[in-house]
Amino acid sequence: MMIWAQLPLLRFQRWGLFVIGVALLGLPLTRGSVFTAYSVDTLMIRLAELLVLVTLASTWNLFSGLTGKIDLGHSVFFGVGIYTVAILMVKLGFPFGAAVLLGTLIGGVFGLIIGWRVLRLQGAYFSIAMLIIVLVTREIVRIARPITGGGTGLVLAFDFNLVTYYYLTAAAFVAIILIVRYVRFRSRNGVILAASEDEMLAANTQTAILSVFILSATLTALVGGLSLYRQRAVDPEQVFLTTQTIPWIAASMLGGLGTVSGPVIGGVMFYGLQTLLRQIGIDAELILEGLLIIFTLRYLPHGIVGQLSKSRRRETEGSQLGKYLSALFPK
Amino acid sequence: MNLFLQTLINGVLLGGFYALISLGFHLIHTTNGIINLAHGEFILLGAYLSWFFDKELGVEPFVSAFLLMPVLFAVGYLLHARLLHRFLGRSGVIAVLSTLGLSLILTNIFELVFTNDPRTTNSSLAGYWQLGEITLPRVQTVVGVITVVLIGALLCFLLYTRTGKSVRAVAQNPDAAWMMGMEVSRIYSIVFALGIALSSIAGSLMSPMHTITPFAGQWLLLKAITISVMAWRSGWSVLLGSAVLLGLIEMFAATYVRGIGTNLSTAISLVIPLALFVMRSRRPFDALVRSSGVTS
Repeated sequence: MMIWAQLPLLRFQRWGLFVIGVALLGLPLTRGSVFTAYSVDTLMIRLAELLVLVTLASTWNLFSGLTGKIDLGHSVFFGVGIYTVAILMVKLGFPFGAAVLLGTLIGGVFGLIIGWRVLRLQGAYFSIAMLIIVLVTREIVRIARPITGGGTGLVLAFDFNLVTYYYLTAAAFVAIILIVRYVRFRSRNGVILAASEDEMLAANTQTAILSVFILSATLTALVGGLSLYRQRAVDPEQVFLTTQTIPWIAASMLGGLGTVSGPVIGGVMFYGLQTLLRQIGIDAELILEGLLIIFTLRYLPHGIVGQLSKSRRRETEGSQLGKYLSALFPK
Repeated sequence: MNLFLQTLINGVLLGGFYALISLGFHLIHTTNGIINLAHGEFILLGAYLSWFFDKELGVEPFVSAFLLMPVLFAVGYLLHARLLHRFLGRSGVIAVLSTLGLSLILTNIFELVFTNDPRTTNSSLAGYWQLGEITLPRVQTVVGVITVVLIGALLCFLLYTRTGKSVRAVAQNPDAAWMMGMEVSRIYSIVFALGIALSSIAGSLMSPMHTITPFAGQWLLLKAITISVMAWRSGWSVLLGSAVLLGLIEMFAATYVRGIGTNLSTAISLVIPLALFVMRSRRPFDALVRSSGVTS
């Protein structure tokens, strides 16, 4: 049940990952001290940000990677999750935990309502329909002023504890990766979807697609609800952003569509490049995302992890860059 | 009565503008069979270049529109023949993702080069014609006329020239066209380039009427896709008709519904494409949508 089992790792590398994991869990203990240019607090905020990105990329990849339907509006579930939690806490006085649970459920119901019809659309029509759904939801939130606070949104009053947030994101990351792994390799639906890439099946792919969509929506709403803890305020302009889904797509593609560890590896690389750009001070995030997408399509169509697992199965197809990559990590 | 007539005219003019922005998209959509997610950004490219011409050289946008057309045709041709050609013939996912990547890169370039400030160009045509109690905005009227002329020219190209005939043949059946010895990939490049050139004209003509911002591309794409799906595989006159219909619906909703008129017209223009996509089992759209492969 190791999440990195897909990677062809050298013997000591699993121990290396284990050590890194323990070090990251123990990081909050060293608060107050300063090593290198960063304080530990900054490091923790950065790491939590990275974990949220990687988790969201995994939930996106759970649906779009497995089914090949590119969801350009998956951020709508993130928005529904965060808004539901905010409304429950501000208007009805729910505690945070209960609100997150209910928000996750409502995200799933929302996924069912949308997926019921929209999932039948093919190719780019599905992508466009999801994009429109984000915009429609934003308009609805703006119009329903008594419940959602309209264009100004809602503000919450509770204390932000960095250590809690850090462990919250880590727990969500581990839980969601385990769920994704289970769905991909153990569940009936995951196996049907992975097989249907290659050949026509007698199995009912429509039901499998719908259930994976609902699960992905639920998990995205869960992460959305949890991120309210950091943001402590919501408004439609910030929450229902159509560009929010793009980093998830870029990270998943770089790692490999339909793989479990792909979004994690792609997400770490993407976050590194993004941080580098921010440090230099160029406002070129969209260029980075666009170039990554086109570069991956052209030179690494299966992504890093997909390419490696293909070469492990001794499949010779693949691009020139993919062959170099395979040579770097022999079996 | 005057209000009604004025709204009618404004709606028709808005429809003419919508037809203009969806021309290039519809051409690529129906011939190459791809949805170009970077369509809005290509319109903005034309608009920004016109703004540059207007500010630095004092060239009227109505003139620069036609000066820019051959340049953007060349850009579109090279882009397709050198880069997109590899992706666009492949399965749906790859085509979607490559145009998405292109649109992101262009948006960010606009942001870096032209900043986030809204831009407009000055046209010597600005102003109104007064017909009795009805005012006719000059720029919009001229743009409407140009749209009709462009559609006519495009029809003549498709019906009477040799290249135009090949385009129609490839649109009908690429495999058969290939077997008859046509260079299908070259035709695809030409159509893509023509679509980009038409989009850039739309952008140049849009620049005196609307403010241009780097993120307006999405809105333009949605209008184009709505109209293209409304007109499905019918002729160019149907495209014009559905654009005018959309313009009228939006204008009447904005004028006659008290209070939430503008919100309502935004919502309507978003719901129309969704409904067209999704309502495949309903009778009026049944044949329309099923014959085309929108749904499985």
